Amino acid sequence: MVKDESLSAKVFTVVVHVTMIVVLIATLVPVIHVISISFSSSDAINRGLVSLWPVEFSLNAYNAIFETGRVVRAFGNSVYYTVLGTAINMLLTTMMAYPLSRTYLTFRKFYNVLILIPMFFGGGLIPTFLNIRDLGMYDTVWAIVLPGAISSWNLIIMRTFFMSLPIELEESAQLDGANEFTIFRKIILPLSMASLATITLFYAVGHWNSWFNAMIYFKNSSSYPLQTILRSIVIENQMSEEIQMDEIANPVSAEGIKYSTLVISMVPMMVVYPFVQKYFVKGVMIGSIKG
Amino acid sequence: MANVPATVGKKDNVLTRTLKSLNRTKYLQMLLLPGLIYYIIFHYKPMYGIIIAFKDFSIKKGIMGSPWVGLKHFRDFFSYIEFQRVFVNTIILNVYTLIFAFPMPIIFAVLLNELHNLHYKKFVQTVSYLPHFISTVSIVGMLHMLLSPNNGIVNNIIKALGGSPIYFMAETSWFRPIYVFSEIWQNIGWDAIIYIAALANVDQQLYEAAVIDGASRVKQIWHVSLPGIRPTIIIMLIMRMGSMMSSNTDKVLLMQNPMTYDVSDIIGTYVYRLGIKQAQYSYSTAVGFFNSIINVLFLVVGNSISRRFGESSLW
Amino acid sequence: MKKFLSLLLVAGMLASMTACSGGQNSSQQSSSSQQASSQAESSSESAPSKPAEPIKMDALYEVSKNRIPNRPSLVDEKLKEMFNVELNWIDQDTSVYNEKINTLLASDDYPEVFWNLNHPASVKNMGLEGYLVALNPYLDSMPNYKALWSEADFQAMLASCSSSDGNLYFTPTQNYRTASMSWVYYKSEFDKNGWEVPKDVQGLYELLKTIKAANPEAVPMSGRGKWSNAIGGLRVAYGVTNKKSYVDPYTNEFVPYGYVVDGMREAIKWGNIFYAENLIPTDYMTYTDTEWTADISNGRDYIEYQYVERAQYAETNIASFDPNADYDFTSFNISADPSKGYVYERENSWFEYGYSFSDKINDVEGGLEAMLGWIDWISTDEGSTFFCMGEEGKTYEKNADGTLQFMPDMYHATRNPEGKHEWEYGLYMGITRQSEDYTREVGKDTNVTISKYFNEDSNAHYTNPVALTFTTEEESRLNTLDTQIDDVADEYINKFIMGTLNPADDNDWNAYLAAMNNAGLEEASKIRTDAYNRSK
Repeated sequence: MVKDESLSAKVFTVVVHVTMIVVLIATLVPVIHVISISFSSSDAINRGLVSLWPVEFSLNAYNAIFETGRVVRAFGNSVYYTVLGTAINMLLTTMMAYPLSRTYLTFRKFYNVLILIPMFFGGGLIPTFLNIRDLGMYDTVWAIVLPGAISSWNLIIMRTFFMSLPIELEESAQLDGANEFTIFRKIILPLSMASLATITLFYAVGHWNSWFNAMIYFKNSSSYPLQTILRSIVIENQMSEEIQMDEIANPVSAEGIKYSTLVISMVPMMVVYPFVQKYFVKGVMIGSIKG
Repeated sequence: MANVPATVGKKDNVLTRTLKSLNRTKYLQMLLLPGLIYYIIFHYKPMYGIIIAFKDFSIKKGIMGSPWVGLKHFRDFFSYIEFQRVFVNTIILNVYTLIFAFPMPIIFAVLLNELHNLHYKKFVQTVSYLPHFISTVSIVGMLHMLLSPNNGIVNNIIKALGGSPIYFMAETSWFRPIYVFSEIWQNIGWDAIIYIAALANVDQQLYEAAVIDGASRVKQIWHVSLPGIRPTIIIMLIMRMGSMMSSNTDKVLLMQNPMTYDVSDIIGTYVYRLGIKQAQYSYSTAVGFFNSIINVLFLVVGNSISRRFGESSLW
Repeated sequence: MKKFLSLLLVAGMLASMTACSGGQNSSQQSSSSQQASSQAESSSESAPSKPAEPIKMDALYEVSKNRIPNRPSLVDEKLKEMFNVELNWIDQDTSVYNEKINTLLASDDYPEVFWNLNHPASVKNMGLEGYLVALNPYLDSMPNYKALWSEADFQAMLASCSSSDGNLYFTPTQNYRTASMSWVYYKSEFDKNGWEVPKDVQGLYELLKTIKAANPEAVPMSGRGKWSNAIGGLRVAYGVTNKKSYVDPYTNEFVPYGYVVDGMREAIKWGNIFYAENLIPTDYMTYTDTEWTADISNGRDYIEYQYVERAQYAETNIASFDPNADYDFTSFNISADPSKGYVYERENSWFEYGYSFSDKINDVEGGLEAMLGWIDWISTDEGSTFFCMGEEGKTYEKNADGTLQFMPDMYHATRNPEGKHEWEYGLYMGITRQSEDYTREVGKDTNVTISKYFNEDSNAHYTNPVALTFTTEEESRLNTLDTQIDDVADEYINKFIMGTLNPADDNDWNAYLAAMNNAGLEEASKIRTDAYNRSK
């Protein structure tokens, strides 16, 4: 690679690095703050003494969460729902995105409008709930993974990605006698790894963060995913506005619990993400068109 | 155009043409069939619920049995004395976000792409999206801490420079900038992921060709990177246009206070306050419907403009 | 092999006998429970020799703070023993209660019993929609429950808790206290410096200035945020309650909205002065519990108008900063004019939560009678002792002086903070009446104390919370107007306090009044006044 030594290149490099540093600080500082608080003693948290390092190191906030025993099972539930849900998501979304990306598809405009409308209009909680019930999915895992099987937003993004693949790829494959299924499996998918990784990530995170549907569609809290439980724990520990029911002076700071739940939610993402990241690699297309 | 053999007869009518076209694309149609069924069953089947907006909904009577009130809820909504305020505030907040927050992830992604050290690049990228996972409550809590008039860092700096402390969260002129800033802060890394993925798809050879032509890195960005991700940018832009009436109600709720209602009260927060005393199912459905209509209008306008310029379209 | 088979046979016989004899166990209990069960009008009660089929119903239990009992709990056993009722529990977290209930109702999948409901507005609505049984015809058959209130209070309760069709759809809980707020202050510091809580507002002003001078770090009057907490005590000092409508304790006139009366203006003026001199937090308006707790924990909060229970909260949180700290509460309220006495905020004699029964209970023979019998029983001395304290020897023990105390392995704030909670045994959740021992054991006797102070003090006047009933249309209209009115009040009062506008300036105050009228104050006031006149 030829290194450009001119002034503008140097200035540019400086700009890039300064931007990166600013972003790093801006995003790292709150994360460190959150982690520090989660590992500090309730007392230090209450007195507002914690900034960028734990004060009076303590696992109080974490114990309070794990003590309840609900968290471990909820964690397992979340993993199950996320894996199952994302698999269904990707299957259905890619199967729909590819045809929609072909400009010669019959009824293309119709389909495109069809997927757009639900982004704006929906039946609301009660009709949706009744629908799920009528389908016999109440209190089953399907109520969690099927209603969101395709997100129009993600579908449109994936369609856009597929559209950016040059048409020559398809043509040369057809000359070799392949039909659309084969083209889809053997050519399009392998070349779209970056896009597929991105959409997989979006779906997975969506499942991981969701908490509302489980509360509505499950009878038993033993089926709840992680976020639902964590959210309950945070709310439980808050002080109520008016005193009506029993209120115990909390030995564990509500703030601390809020932050430890955050860390617990963040960790799996941080662990999984590097595996996704490796797909964001340049130069996947080299050599595919030539020859 | 690939895949269209020259067998279209001169006298084929619309029906025949359509059938022939269907036949040619039959494998594609089969591929998208499951998704189609999904949409119909899970989205279109319950969509009749939208008429709740035009009814005085009672659970016992059910949707069909509830009395029809026509545009009553909409009239109630429009006659709210501060209707103009919340409507305008909702749009302005989103326009600001569009103008200032939308380009940031793009710029970040493009600059990130210029890093040579792969490990550093991965590190920055991984850290940058983490704030997305910090709950809104905590983000706003941190904002309060930073901007506190008593011992917030920002005011400490102001005091050190000889100024007097500003109670930022109570000032109408600061609300929108702080909101937009928090949106950028929280989402720049996460929103950049799409663009990073799109950049990965840009053909390396184009860069090499540009280098050979003597282009500086800035020129490479301008002539290769950005055009390469243009479809993605345009689509994202159009879709954002379709959320002009949607808001991060949770965040605004946490950030607003009565001193800033003039700029900080949006439709979502107003409906929330109304709903605290007495859940108003039909009314909130009607408001949501109204928002959706406006959103669609924006979307159609945005899409048309894009098409006029020969760019991507959503349909 | 034979031995094994016969063993199996005997085991099978024993098992079937046990299964059928659910009722027999209960008849072996002490005679008092037999008496109680015969008092309850359960039609399925038979002679002790014949086992009765238990009444089975679904019960939705509104759970807050994840207080789910180990089941079958003591309450389950008691229900079975005394009323032959077996409840199938559905635990529903309170946070998404409204959404979940709507879906259950819409799909016709709701239980017979709603236990411990804490959503008065939605319960009243459910009743109006026809989902709940109106309880008015049954109240006379619940003498112990009725006896929890005086006749006048009972009527007031009915007026306030009924839905707009005049029916009572839930059983409200008795409020064991009449007051719960006074001035909580940093007693140990006050004693050290020779300070006293003044009786009047001017004195309070002087005190706060003194504190600030002595300790520049002091806040000195903190609060949980928003103007209503910042100047709550000042407001009460001028006889303006925190409820919208009230009867003036001095003039006996009905005030539809306390936001605009002269007393409120005076309180706001003081707020303005306090704010200007940094005697209340600069950012009080956006204060969250975090900042408030930080003020307490760092010894910066010296005095505030607060729930008296929170004196304990303050002591707990300040413990590391000042281990010898002592917080106490006043036996009087600060007043604008002590010569005329002082005002306290008197609570309703009921809480708006309790039990509800759906129309499905009509299909269960004896179900409603059994549950109402239960509610009547837990309103008795014996019943409320059981429901709050549990069983002697199991969860509580008797002291020499006759008072009851939780067993050593049970939770207590100072004796055993790690102990088992009463709700783990199914106790307390869904009470109609608080037992005195329980109140003392959980540290709520401060409320009893302050109630006593105020009740016995001839200087104490109270703002009478009036029970207003509205028609459905009035209620809906009021809801819209109140939102607008509250918004205007919030905007202006904060501006007055923070100095953007001047409450002493007639122009500014009149602008406020004009804005309030523009938001519908006149119309809303009329609705409320009409309702009040109707209720007299």
